[in-house]
Amino acid sequence: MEKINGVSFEEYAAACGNLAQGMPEETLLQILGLEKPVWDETLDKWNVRLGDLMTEDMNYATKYGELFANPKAGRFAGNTTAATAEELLHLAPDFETYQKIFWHQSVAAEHGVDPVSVLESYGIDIGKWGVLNMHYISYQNNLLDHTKPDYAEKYERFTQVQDKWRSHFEGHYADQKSDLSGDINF
Amino acid sequence: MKDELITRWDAFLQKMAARFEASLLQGEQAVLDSLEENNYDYYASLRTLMAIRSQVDASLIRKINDTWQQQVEPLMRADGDYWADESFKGHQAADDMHERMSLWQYITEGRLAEKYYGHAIQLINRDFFCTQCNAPLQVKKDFFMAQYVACHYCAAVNTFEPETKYVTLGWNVVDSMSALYALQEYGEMLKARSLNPLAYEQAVRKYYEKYFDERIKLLPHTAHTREQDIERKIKQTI
Repeated sequence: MEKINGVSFEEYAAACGNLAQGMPEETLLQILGLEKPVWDETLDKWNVRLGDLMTEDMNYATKYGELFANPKAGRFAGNTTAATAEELLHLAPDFETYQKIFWHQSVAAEHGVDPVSVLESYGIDIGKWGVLNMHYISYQNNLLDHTKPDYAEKYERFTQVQDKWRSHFEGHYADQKSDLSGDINF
Repeated sequence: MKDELITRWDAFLQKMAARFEASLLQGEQAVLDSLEENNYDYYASLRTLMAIRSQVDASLIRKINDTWQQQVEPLMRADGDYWADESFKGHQAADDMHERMSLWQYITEGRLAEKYYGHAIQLINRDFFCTQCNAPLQVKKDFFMAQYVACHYCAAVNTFEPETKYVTLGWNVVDSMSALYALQEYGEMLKARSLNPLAYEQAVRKYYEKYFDERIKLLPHTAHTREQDIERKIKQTI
């Protein structure tokens, strides 16, 4: 198994996921038994290497995403403080709530508002959002299975929920939007 | 009626094009000024950039399509069979703006990065001292990560951990600066997209060679992976 400074791909991805879910860097260094300069070098080299691996095989991007969302690989297996999707579902208990948060941070970002601070207002950090995203993307893929007989109905419901929350937050941030061409008409 | 409608449509498109250019110019200045306003929070300024892009898109580019669909097309369709050519004008104007805006983002990200770099690089222009003998340490100034620094006097190995604003330089900032310095090659690469595959591949190679040569000037420790980095990017692009 390929390693950089003793850190495998799985541990690298899990380390990134744990950091994103709030693990202090000191804890991470203790778990990996590395000093900060070595960890920085490891991270830098793995970031480059991940680019190489993804060029060769896009499955690495999926694998990285899964480990990032569920960072319990290698030495992090018994040492993570990261939560599972099941443990986080109280933050977004259903698909509609997930869509609400999704559109809130998305429309906010279009208006120059920090999407991370929007997530924080729901008690979610970027790492937890990654876990919830993975969970609901999988849910969405199952929901929108075009081979199922009720696909059309479910697709319509899905579109309605999306439109509802996008419109809601576009309205919410409307006063922060400047019309750059209000005086130009046909 | 036909001439009058076409004249009005042309005038509308011209005014929108002029406003678009003016907005991009003001937008770039707003992005650069935002660094002082947010105490050099690079990522907050990037968000400002994306918000400006989104507003230009919504209130200028999309307005062209909306105006065509809701006002111009119904009038022209009712008047004759010349609407298709006029529809093309609108689509062409919107497409040109999309391309121009992508280039604007590319350049503005580079200029933002340049300005941030000018500020953050100063953070290391001070003395650092050995934790054992208090002698001055020679910290590598173009290495934006934690580093071991051996004291020249007592040989103790110190761990130097730069502050976050300085570390940020080693990530997107140097990348955007390198891209800016390879702007000419980038433009040639875009033009070559419509040429034959070999010419395009050569243009892509030239771009990444320039990009990584500029990046190496900013991050000398990446010189040993130059060839590998170039090949990877070419593979990802083509």
